[in-house]
Amino acid sequence: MANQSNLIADNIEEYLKQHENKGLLRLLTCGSVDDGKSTLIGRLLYDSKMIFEDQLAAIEQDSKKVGTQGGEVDLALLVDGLQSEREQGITIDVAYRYFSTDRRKFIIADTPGHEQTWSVSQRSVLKRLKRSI
Amino acid sequence: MLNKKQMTHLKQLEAESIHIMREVIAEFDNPAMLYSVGKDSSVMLHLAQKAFYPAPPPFPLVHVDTTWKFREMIEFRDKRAKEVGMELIVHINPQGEEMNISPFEHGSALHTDIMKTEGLKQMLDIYKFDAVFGGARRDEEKSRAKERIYSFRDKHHRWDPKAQRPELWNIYNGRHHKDESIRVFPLSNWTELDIWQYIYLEDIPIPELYFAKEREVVEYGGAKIMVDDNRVSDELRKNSRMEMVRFRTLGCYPLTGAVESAATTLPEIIQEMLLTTTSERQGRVIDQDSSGSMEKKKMEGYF
Ligand SMILES: Nc1nc2c(ncn2[C@@H]2O[C@H](COP(=O)(O)OP(=O)(O)O)[C@@H](O)[C@H]2O)c(=O)[nH]1
Ligand SMILES: [Mg+2]
Repeated sequence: MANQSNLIADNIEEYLKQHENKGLLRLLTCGSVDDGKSTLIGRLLYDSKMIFEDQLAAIEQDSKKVGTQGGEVDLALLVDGLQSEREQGITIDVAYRYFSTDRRKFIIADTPGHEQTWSVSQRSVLKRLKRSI
Repeated sequence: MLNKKQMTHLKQLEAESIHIMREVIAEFDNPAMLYSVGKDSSVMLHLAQKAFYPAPPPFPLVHVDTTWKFREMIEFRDKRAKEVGMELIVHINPQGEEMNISPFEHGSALHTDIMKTEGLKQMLDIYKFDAVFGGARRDEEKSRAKERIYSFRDKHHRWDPKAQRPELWNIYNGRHHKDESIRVFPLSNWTELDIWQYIYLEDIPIPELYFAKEREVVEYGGAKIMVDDNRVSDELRKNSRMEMVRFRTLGCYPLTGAVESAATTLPEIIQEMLLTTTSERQGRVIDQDSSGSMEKKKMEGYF
């Protein structure tokens, strides 16, 4: 898993002490449909070694069936977790993913980019929000 | 780094969970907490104690017993309920019990469906809970990553992933009609590491099964399962061995794979977790059926 710190193997108590005092940062993706938001987040998780072997094996398998990469691994599948999202290759609803560095824990919300995917109730909330700003 | 005014990530997660629990108690008539005896339930129970201290949490603990849980889990469950002074409601699907449903004989899918999902729905119908806390986390599984903290269920207890309500910042919408309910996940934003770190820092009691010990195990269904009682057939038991093992998650013993381990302390468990290359759900037969299996189970009413 993540946190490729040597301290984990060498001195776990010290590592735990360092990781008691982390900050927390929440961020979300914004952009039009197909801008590459989900792929970017998937790549971020992949590069920060947040993906377990069994999870990677599962998306490699799924990439052959439903991916947008012609059989190559589609990292957007790491966040597009619903069956219909995987089949359609788009994000329909928010996904929350997590990773952390030595200084911060991150909560990422990967959001859908097109208004049509929003339900009627979500759109009405959005409208009210826009009016109130 | 953090300045003095900022709260650490664990303090922020704790505050968020406590806020969620208090919101639910303020808004719902008949809440309950699903207590599954594992590490996440242990943390959730601890947070509930903090949220309502010095009173005991104002709702019962409920447990859907499949009759195949590790015996140690049942002992631990009964002991903890007494210690925290909460009512414990246990439900076993009576039809399933009558049919003698067994994961060995009937397979994991049917067993889970009848003893867990059906049992849970029966219990909800009997007690008419309108809000049920569960210890699921979004980092556990890909369909869980899509779930709200207040997860709305229709009168058949079904989740509709395509009609989820907006949940903006910390504003939770608890409105519901009669017979509709919500599942509440106060640990949504916690990761496996957060859970272990918090257990370590707060010294939260968890079952011994998480710690490595010599246990009698045998290969079954691609995993190493523990011989927990004499319902393991003699045929199977012929090949059993004593090994140093522990469990990363707890469930029905025939469906829960043990991992070889020498970790006997919390720091050692955390160390092992951080160095492992597979997810905690890998040891569970239920999730490996197919890619969308958790989503499907949730749509049928599973937690
Ligand atoms: N060429 C190229 N294609 C990309 C890149 N990032 C994403 N894509 C492709 O753009 C499409 C949409 O990506 P996705 O992540 O689903 O976009 P989203 O709707 O913003 O989440 C997919 O076919 C991706 O494979 C990139 O950096 N370069
Ligand atoms: Mg997307």
